[in-house]
Amino acid sequence: MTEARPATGSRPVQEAGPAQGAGPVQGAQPVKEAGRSRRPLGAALARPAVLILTGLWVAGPLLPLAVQAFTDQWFYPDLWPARWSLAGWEQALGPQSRLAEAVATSVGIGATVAALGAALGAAAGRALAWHRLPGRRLIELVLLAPVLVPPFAVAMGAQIVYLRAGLADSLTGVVLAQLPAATAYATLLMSGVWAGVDPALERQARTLGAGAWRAFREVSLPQLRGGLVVAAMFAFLISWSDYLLTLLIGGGVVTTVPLLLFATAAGSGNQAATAAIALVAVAPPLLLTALAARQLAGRDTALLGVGR
Amino acid sequence: MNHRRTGFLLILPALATVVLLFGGGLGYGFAQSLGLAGFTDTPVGLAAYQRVTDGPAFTDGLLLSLWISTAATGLAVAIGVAAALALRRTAAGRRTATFLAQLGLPVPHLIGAVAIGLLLADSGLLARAARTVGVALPALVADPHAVAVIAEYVWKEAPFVLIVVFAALGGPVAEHERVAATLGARPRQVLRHVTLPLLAPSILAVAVLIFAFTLGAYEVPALLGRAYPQPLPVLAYQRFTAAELSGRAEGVAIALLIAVIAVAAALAYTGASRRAVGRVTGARR
Repeated sequence: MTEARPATGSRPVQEAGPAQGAGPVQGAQPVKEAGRSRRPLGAALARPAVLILTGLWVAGPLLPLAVQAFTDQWFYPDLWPARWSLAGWEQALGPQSRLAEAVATSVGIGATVAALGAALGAAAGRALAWHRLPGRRLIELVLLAPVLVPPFAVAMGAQIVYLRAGLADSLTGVVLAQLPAATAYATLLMSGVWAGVDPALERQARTLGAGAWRAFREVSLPQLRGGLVVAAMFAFLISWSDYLLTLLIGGGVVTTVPLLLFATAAGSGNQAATAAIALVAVAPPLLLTALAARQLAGRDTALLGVGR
Repeated sequence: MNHRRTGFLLILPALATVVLLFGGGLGYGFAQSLGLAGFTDTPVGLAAYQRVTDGPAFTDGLLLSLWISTAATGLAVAIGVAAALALRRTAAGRRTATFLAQLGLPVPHLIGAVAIGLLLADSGLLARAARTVGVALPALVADPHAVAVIAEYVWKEAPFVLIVVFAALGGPVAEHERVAATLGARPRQVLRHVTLPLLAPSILAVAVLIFAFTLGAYEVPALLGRAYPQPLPVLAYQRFTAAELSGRAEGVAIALLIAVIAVAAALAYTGASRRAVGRVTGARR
């Protein structure tokens, strides 16, 4: 009787928008529940408990940062600070710390990497999804290399080349160093997005007299938009998180937020300033993910996990 | 034919970016490690590799790296899979858990390291909480077992596992489970003989990604680890930036050895995945 009854209040997780990724889609079909009404009370309570634990798991370690950033007196073993203060922020934002400059540098590099990575990924993703390519397996393997090989192995080898080309210690050099990983992730994501777009629609536009570019722009592009946003976001976040490539190729001259954070955390012993910079550094990823939650729904977001 | 050429032209920019900027650096680094190129006084041959692997710093670092990656991967997978299985039954649970896990994914590891440091340090929040209930904790940051490093990786990667397992559960898994239950399998038998084998390929894939990433990650052990032994990425960076010229070749050599281990793990995964799929297809019959 209770067999195969849809879960109460369950609806498809994703909005049925266009251009859904072809990758594994979580919750694509509502999982039918067998005999839910007969579940013991313990099991019914376990689920909210696990959900709360999940929330605590993600937010828990970040919360002390928010407290630490606003106090200069939090003596051991007090569980709560003795005094609130903005001293950490004054040091983090003060003239000596260069945080504002670092944010501007990080945003500039991140936006460039995002634009280039998403554009390269969109073109390559179309080829992977729509075209018959000779040596496809090899191409896919090459594109996976930045996922498996630690990128700093590459940066160490390439550093001399950057030095000789006059690109070391420059913004351009750092962008070029971060670009391969961002491009690889954007390509993997965009090939899934393109696979959800029907090639016949562009062909129809071509039959009706549209040029190749116009057919792309007016038929496929609107369907790609959500995927492009996510690809650009991934690329931006890869750039925003990077520490070692920026240090090796930027030589400490290109100071991004992670470089400033690491230096403050490792070298200053000023926990309030460290926490303040960490909050500044964590805000964009959290905001972007929350804002893009709708675009992310149903997509292969697991890529975010490896694309840091 | 023309269709093929368009495809090739479309993929060329991305492919060139990865091959030239990534593969080029890797190849040039390999040449440097062999003493064939770069600013180096390393003689041509395997001298850099011999110098690097000779002595306890490398062996201890390798063992520490393998310990960190194995422990972090195992814990993250166990916690992520358990949470996913506990939350999969209702759409609302899946949706909320996915959203929460997604929020955690893009937090940079460096920030995770700072946060975990504040939590687990000798004067951290956990030590304060433990003291109020009268327990004295051992050192968790910069300790011999790299507890804080592993904790940071598990904190970041378990939600990643959760999302991957949710995605894998979206397939025909539920149907197979119902069939098994209809045929009289108990919940535990369903889990052991149907659910976990069907999830095995995804779980193995995500385990390899976590293993490879943690093996090559620098910031977390650099911030939360101790001065000796150092895991391989930290050792590689130290050698690379050392005062003497030969250090550069040695640093690249260590970095390439890490890459070899990571790729070997991926190849082992491909084999294991094929066997796992074979087991499941066998189980289906």
